[in-house]
Amino acid sequence: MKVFAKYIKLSPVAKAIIFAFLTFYSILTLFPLIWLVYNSVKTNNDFLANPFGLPQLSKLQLKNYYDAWVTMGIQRFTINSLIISSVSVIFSLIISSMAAYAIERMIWRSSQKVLNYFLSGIMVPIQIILIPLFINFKKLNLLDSRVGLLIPTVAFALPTSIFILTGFYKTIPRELEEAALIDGCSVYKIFYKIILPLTMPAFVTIAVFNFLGAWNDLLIPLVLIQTPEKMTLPVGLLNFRGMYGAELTKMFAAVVISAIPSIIIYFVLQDKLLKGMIAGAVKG
Amino acid sequence: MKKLERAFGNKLAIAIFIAPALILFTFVIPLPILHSFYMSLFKWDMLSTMTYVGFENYKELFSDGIFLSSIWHTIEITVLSLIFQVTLGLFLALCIVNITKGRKYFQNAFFIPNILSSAVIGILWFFVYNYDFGLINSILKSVGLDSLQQEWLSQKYVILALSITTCWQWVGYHMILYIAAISGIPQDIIEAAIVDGAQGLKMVTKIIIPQIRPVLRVSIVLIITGSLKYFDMAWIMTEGGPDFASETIATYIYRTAFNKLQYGLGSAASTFLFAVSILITVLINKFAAKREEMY
Repeated sequence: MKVFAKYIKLSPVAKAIIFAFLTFYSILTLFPLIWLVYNSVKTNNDFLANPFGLPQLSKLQLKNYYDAWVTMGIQRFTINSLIISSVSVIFSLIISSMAAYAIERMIWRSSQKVLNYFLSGIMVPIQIILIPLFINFKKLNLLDSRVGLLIPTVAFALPTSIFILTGFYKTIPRELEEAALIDGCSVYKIFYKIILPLTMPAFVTIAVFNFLGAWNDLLIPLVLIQTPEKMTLPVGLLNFRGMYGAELTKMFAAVVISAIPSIIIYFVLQDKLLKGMIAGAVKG
Repeated sequence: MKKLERAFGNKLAIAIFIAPALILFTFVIPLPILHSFYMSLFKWDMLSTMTYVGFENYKELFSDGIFLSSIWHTIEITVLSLIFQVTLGLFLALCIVNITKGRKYFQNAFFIPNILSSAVIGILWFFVYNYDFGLINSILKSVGLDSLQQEWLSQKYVILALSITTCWQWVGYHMILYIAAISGIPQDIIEAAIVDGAQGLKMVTKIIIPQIRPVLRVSIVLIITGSLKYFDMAWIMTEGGPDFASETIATYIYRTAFNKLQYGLGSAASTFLFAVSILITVLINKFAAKREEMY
């Protein structure tokens, strides 16, 4: 990454201009978020009187956060989102690693065809399948249930996960498996004892990527979930914008709360996340 | 090595490994696509019985002014997103690769919006654009430019406003792709270009852009396919309004099926969207492959 700047010698003036532009644009980008945060601790009246001004320190409304978390029920939505996102990540890791192993390491004729079949799913707009999914889930009594929400969430995570994992499995040397085979391991044992531990770095990338995907998803839970008790964060927020429309600064607090987990995940695991995004895009 | 082939060619093991993914995927993605086409041939509101109507739904779809305008809005959003995100993303990437200090800060600052959920972004920008207490109008007011205050989510500006929010959300992602691509250009190519006297703009147009063409193509494909299914922002901020001014194909499908319970008509719109997505993917790949052969 550093290479480029080393070879292109820009004049100090040009560098200063670039730096000034980037600084200006970064403030422009971040300001809406900063505005959101400092307004989330104002009273509603203070906000309406002066939406641009900073809050007065003597009147900080930390109670907005308590109200959003407890009274408005952000707590429950966060727990729902955590459950759906975590469980769907676990399932997508198990199912996609098994499939990727069979495609990349097992020997059979149609493996590449099956891989392409999965990869074709990357491009499918989710709207297309929502109506049949809704109708069939209604018949199967899976509407408004966590299991029902998990099924499409995991399925839509499969194409990219399988793509990244097959790429990863290409790089594992065959000798490892041969040695295990000679020692009397079955393929199942090889997969479980040798391949899975080696897959951990790729798992972290896919897990972050899929977790954020499930965490941020709006459309699937919007269609499949109806009762507030089972809503995930995005749907819950949307639902509450209508209900608590007048209590704007509490709404701000709710939005800040639901943004925090994504931001934490990003700063802790950003290298893994970016890797997944770039890898996913290269196939794209 | 017979043993090896026998072990790794074990049909039962292959089936066991592949079955969960294959079954789940097939039942959630390909089969519903077919089901959607099948349902597009019927009129159905889930309460009465399904009636076969042939291609009647498609006729109704293309005589519905709201659907036609939703196609137009989707095109507008696609074009604006391409212009905003590709040019700005490329510009930011070019700026960032040329500096050494503060690189990490700028990358993070521009990328952060991309990790937030569209519900967070949509609600935030709904407030940013608000006429009475929104960020934009209150800034304009505080610097004395009251006359420029607008109803930003009005019929006149709503598509532009949505596209700007989408740019805010996605430009950092495309920037990251471009930075990765530019950093991957072989050193000797850059050195040779410098020896040949390529400077500034010439370096960008003659060396960098041709070198990162594959990544540019990926990012253009992603923006186009993303715009085709444009739903979240339009639904959260305006519900396709005011007066259907920001209705996209995706919000049309959602409204038709889940608000109006016209499942047949909604499925016809879905099938149309699917056909268009395939067509565009094929076209881009063909077109881009030809262009690459030329270089």
